[in-house]
Amino acid sequence: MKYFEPKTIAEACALLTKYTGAKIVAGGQSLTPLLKQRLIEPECLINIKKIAALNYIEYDEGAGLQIGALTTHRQIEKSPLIESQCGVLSEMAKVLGDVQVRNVGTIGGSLCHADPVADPPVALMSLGANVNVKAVNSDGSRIIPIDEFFTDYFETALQPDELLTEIQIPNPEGRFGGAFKKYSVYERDLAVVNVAVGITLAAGNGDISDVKIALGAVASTPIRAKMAEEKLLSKSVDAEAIAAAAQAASEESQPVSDITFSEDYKRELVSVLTRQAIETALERAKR
Amino acid sequence: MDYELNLTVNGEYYRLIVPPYRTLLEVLREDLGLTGAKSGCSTGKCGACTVILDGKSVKSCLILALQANGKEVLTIEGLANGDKLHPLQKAFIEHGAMQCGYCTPGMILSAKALLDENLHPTEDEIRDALVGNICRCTGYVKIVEAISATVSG
Repeated sequence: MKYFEPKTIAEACALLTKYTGAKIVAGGQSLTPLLKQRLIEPECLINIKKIAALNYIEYDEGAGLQIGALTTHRQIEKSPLIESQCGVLSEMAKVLGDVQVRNVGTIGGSLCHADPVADPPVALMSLGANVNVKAVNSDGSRIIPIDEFFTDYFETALQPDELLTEIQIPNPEGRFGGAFKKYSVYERDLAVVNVAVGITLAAGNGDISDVKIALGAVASTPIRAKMAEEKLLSKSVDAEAIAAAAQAASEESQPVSDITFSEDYKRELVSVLTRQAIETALERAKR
Repeated sequence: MDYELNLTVNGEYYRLIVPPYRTLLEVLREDLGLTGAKSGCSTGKCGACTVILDGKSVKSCLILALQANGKEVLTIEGLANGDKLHPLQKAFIEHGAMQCGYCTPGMILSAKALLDENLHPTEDEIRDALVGNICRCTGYVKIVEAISATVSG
């Protein structure tokens, strides 16, 4: 097994082109367990943590929030900028794993690993985020909307020679409120079900002008509960509409029974967490 | 292929040659004889392997040794100052915060990492810092008490 530490994005992409069996190591908090269990045997490891250009959290009125791929979950958890501009990401980061994992693990790594139970994808899906990727021959970035980024269990739309460089969250148009809810067997464990809701209220009458409901751990990828969203769109929302949305989300999810929880129980969790997330997001949007 | 690893552990510099898949925990225990960090679950869940890397608590079984190249590691063996125990070590003894002791090095280092960045943590903040360290024996009560006791003011 070979090992490289590129210092620039271009170097990393060149290595990805040269070694088709390479795996990128950022924090390694998802990759290393796979290596230890011999589930993967890459021909080489490319440690990208020396690429300083990939660790940043920036905000501007035009592009919104821009987060470099190597930003750790701990940095996101502790960032006052993210707390003020995108509180749902802070809320999600605070209950992700534990301090040790958050110190090292990166948001880019979480997206590229594409575990369907992961928390960051669900939160980012509720925010309508975009993922920027670079390849060795490209002058600019290819931009992949997050809804198109996850293609299957642990699979993404990334081409073999591409590196995820940035997550961009556009500014909402109107009063925005987001919420992230997660149910796990014990606190901070991997989600049994996780839900994130982003609600934008129109300036004039306060109706819901945009809503995104993202569900995790209930399909081969995180999914948008589009029928649930329709129950809330262009409405001034009451408890009945919220209940209808929660029910729709439950029906749209495709959870699988496992050793701990049945499919029915997971569907019930989706309903409860969706209702809670909608209520919290609405309350935050109205503030 | 093997690669050069330069590591400062408890203030001492080491130069080793390791394959890319070797973990920091393996290097500490097997190459350097520092067996304070333990392998509990080997899947990164229990935290018995916790050490401090460049000032941050990490699970050394989830860190490839080469990821720590050029960095500073603090293990439990590096906490005491000769015969003088660190206040956390003293508090753990005084409050009976150990039974089998297997989780203890990791617990103390997670606590130290917390106190290094937060001088006056609340009980909730202490418990949050220990989420990644599992204890089978104590029920955590004495552990949290011992750490709280070292918080002054």
